Amino acid sequence: MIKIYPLSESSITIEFGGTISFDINQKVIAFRKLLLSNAFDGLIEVVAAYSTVTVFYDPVRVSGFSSPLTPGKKVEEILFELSTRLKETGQQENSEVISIPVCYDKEFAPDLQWLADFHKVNEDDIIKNHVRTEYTVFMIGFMPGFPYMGILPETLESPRKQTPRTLVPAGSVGIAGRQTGIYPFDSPGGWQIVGRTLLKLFSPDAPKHSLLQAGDRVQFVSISKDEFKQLANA
Amino acid sequence: MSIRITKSGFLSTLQDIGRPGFQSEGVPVCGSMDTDALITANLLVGNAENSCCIEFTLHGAEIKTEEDILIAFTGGGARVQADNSEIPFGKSVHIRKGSTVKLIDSLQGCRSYLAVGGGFRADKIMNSASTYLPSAFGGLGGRALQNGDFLEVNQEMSLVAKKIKASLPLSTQNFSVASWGLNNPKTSFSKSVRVVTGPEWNWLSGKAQKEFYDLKFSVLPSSNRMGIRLQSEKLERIDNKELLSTSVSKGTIQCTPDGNAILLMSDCQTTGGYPRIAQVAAVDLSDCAQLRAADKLQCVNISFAEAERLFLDRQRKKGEIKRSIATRFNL
Repeated sequence: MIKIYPLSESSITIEFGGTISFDINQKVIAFRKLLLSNAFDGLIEVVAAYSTVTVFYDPVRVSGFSSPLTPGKKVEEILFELSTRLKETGQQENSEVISIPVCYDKEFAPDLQWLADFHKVNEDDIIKNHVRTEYTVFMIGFMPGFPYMGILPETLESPRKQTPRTLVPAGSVGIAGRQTGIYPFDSPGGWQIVGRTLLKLFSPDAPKHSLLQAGDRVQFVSISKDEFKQLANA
Repeated sequence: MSIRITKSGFLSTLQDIGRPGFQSEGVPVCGSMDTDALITANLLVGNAENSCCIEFTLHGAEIKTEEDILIAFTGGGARVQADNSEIPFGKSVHIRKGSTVKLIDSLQGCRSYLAVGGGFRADKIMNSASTYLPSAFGGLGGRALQNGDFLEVNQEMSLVAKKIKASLPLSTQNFSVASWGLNNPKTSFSKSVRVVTGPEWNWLSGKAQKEFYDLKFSVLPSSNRMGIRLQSEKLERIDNKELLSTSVSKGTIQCTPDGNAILLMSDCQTTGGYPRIAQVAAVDLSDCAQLRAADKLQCVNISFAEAERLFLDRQRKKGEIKRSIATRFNL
């Protein structure tokens, strides 16, 4: 069930499964917490993904130059031991839902019509379906502050664009498979774009850099183009 | 103290070792591509090994010194001339105010590093001065250096920096070169790198696994600080299942849907969904940073234990080098 394998000389991954699932992701987040509260000498950082936790460490500080146990083996043992202490986690503790205002106007949603055609519904149905679900942030990746959220209702499950766009504007809200995400910066990208938010997803200079963290719950709120423009000028 | 960028060259950025610690917020580790070269440059001018340097890509850049300063060049991709005399790589150099330093064409390597005694002053974002271009932060306003930029040099020099500078008096010549060096100018960089098989190695067909080691990869011109793009025979996969996005790191070789490969480098994403077929041994990443378009790369398989041993050996040697400099200057 649990797999532990090295990624590099200074990182090891522990894998709790291979699918997008709330249960697995909650284990991931709980394990990351457990590890951070049992930090070992030489630990640099702990990165949570959908179903994996990867530990980055300084091999020299972990075992020095003359330990009979290699740094990789030593960290592997620590991870294994901690994994046996991982209790059934149940529901997330952080219950606050972060609401994200999104303008779904065509001006900001170049793929809305394509999605409506693909799912044989009208554009309003796509918007309604996107707004009605509360999402969980499974992980942050791809670029600073980019949240991978899910699980999208089946009625919105959509393939990525055949040819990625060379420029997706910052704040764009996208769909790929059964995930939804937000581009914090202008970037190339292949997700289907359904709207845009004015919230700043990542602030390099602020004490809290990323608006969202793995484990957060998110609710999109549809705003009109007028509201969007007002907020933009505020 | 300062220097002026008179020609920015192909791509010149401020870099240090990088900004680990923020990957869980999606922030790449960033930092120097050839970290061994950056550290060596810093040690040559008496800086802490993580001080901020200029990373130059290939040749074409030109700088002007605004004071007498202590400098060192390391890495590859260019030769360096000051007023038509060659400045050697891997040496401490005391250079006079008003000198024009040019990076000219070389046949080897891709990236060179300039350290100055005291280090360059830069925007520190998340504990690092490294420029991260895709999100435009760090270094000098998050951007590449441009013609006319002034780069401030920290006034505070370490004791060893002062001693190195004092050991290189300027009389009539424009610059003075130390008799000792650290990294005898590497005249060539290895195009053969050691790799450990990656977590998804078995997603490749037997044929592709054989070709991965038997054939050489060509380095594509689309390579950049995020990754070195590699092309060989199309890497054939057993099936086309998708990998759930998970951690990657500098040195990870991914197989892309078109059957090519990407060797992830300093500015790589924190997570990826392409199969991780191999991981380059950390000790060989400096050679990877020196690959240029059209180079041919050969991968050689080693065990994880071997890669780990090589890494620890390298770290031990770095400690010895630092101590040898301190001893040389009676510190």
